[in-house]
Amino acid sequence: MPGMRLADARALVPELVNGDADPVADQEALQTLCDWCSRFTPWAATDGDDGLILDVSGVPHLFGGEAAMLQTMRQAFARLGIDARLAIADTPAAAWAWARHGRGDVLPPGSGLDQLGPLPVDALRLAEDIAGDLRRLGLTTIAALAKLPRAPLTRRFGPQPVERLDRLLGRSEEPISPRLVPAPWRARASLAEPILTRDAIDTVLRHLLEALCNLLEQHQRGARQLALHSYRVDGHVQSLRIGTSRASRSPAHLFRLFRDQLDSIDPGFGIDMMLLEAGVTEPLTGSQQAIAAAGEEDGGIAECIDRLQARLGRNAVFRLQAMESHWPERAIHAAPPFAPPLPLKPPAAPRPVALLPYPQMLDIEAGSSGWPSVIHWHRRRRHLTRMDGPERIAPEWWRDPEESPRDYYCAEDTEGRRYWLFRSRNTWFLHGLFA
Amino acid sequence: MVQQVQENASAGVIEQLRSRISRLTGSGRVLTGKTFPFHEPHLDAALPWGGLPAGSLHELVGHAPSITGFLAAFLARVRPGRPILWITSEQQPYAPGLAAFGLDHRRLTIAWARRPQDRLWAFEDALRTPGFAAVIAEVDNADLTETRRLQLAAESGNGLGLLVRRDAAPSAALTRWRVDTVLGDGRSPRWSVTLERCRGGQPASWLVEFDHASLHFRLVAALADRSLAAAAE
Repeated sequence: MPGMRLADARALVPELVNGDADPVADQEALQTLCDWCSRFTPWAATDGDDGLILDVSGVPHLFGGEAAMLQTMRQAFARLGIDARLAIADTPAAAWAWARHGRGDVLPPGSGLDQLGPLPVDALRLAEDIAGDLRRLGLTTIAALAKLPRAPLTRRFGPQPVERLDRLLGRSEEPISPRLVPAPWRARASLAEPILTRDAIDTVLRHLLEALCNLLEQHQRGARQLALHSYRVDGHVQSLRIGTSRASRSPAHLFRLFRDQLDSIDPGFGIDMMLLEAGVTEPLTGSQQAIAAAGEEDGGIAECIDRLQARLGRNAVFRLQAMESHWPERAIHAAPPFAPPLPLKPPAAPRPVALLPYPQMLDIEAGSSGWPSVIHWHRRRRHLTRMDGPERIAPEWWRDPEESPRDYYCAEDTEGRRYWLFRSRNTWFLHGLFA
Repeated sequence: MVQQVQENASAGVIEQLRSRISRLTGSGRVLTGKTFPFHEPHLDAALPWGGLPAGSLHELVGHAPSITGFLAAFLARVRPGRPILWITSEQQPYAPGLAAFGLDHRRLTIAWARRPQDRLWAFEDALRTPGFAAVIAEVDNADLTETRRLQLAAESGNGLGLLVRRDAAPSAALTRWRVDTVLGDGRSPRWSVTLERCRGGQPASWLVEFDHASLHFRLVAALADRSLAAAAE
């Protein structure tokens, strides 16, 4: 009862337990619960501070009808220790009204005002001041409000009551924005007995991959990104994601990509549903897949790179891409492993085989000519015997307004090691090593 | 204590006998696949296979950038056009520099892994993948068991494994090379190249230059092979 003082509440219910409100944590818990609800339907969204709204179109038959689905959901929430009020109705607004102010069951299709009419105006989700005004005028039920002419109603109370009535009765659409956007390619396994072991998870995943790959084959598609969602009995969802560099529907290959991550699934007290979905797919014909499976096309390289990326990280495997830039660190950049490669423009002067990630400022000893005769590198003094250069490289002012021009030299020490040095604003830097 | 010394000594003897047997019988396995030569007659003549054979593991130690250049020059002629995987932890090969050795950067895929065990894992996986022309891995150290696994992986994928390492622990690799810089003319790279170990072959050492114009190795001098090679061992 909002606004009631704690002392009054205690007088009514002596065993009352009280705690501080924590809206942030409440909202987080609601989000978790919303993710968990994607076990029932992919279209789940949070609704206000304390509600969830699910679009179950086309779903109830999986559970044996709408009434049976509500019963299943009620039991599932009860297992989580959540006392939920549930309703299924034609519109989101009607479901909201029926869950909170009606009987909380399945509202028969096309019920309209004969069922919803007797509900209080609060069931319309009106702003509190409008609802209060309506009540004072004696308009306590939805039916009473619906009988009034619309124009004066709007003039007196603003557009909200009419708008809400229309939504309730399905005269205007109310979109649900889902928290998780569902993928059209999915396979799910509902587990009668919650699973706890890695072996069982492996088995279910293989089964799901088989099913999903069959589905993809029927539509001549291959997966580029897959997500595996594990729904725990305690209401948590854990998600693993993998990507492939080329479309695949080989269950064995996709399983290998998941394998290293599977240990990170914590089954808790058990997983009672697993859902596998392909977020990104591409057309893939049967013959392409056969070639890829035999590894004939590329000798298994694409699959090997997928495995490397799955273990080392997506950005840890890359190819060197030539860029239209003469600034040394920008001439080459990392590109995805199968990006179309560009040829390199031959440089004006020799380039080192190894470039340091960043130019390193050098500690130098100048000789009699004023040129560096000794550099300190890897904790050793290195006597330079020759310096070739300079090659002046100017910064690209539109990219690096703060950079100064650099004068590059190729220097050789007494052991024949050759360094790529540059001078910028009278400071010497080491930028690369020659072979 | 005495017991242990004796055990160590006998382990050493067994190892010596093993290596003698393997030298007498060759690699213990007939290498029937392709061989990739250096296209420098002296280097190729020192190798029983006339080059580095497919399906095998080789090691390189020495000056890291020189090894990179030496490998780039060699790989430019190994299965041209086919991809090469380069597994590294710190320095990335710089494509414009590799181009001077004839190696097209478009053949390269780089795999970056900080942890040594990840690099070894990636090396083994890639060696089993027949599509790569060669796989290079920079691994600080690897023990005998690990190199055996890598050698087996190279055999199964018929790949060419090139292990760039820092230590000189016993290894199952077919050859070990040491590449180091020598004072040159400052323009073309000059290296002392030592074949330190070669299964079924003899150690040898050369002074080698790389000619950027013709993209070929050029022998400057054959060093007093035995003494230098023996010193290196």
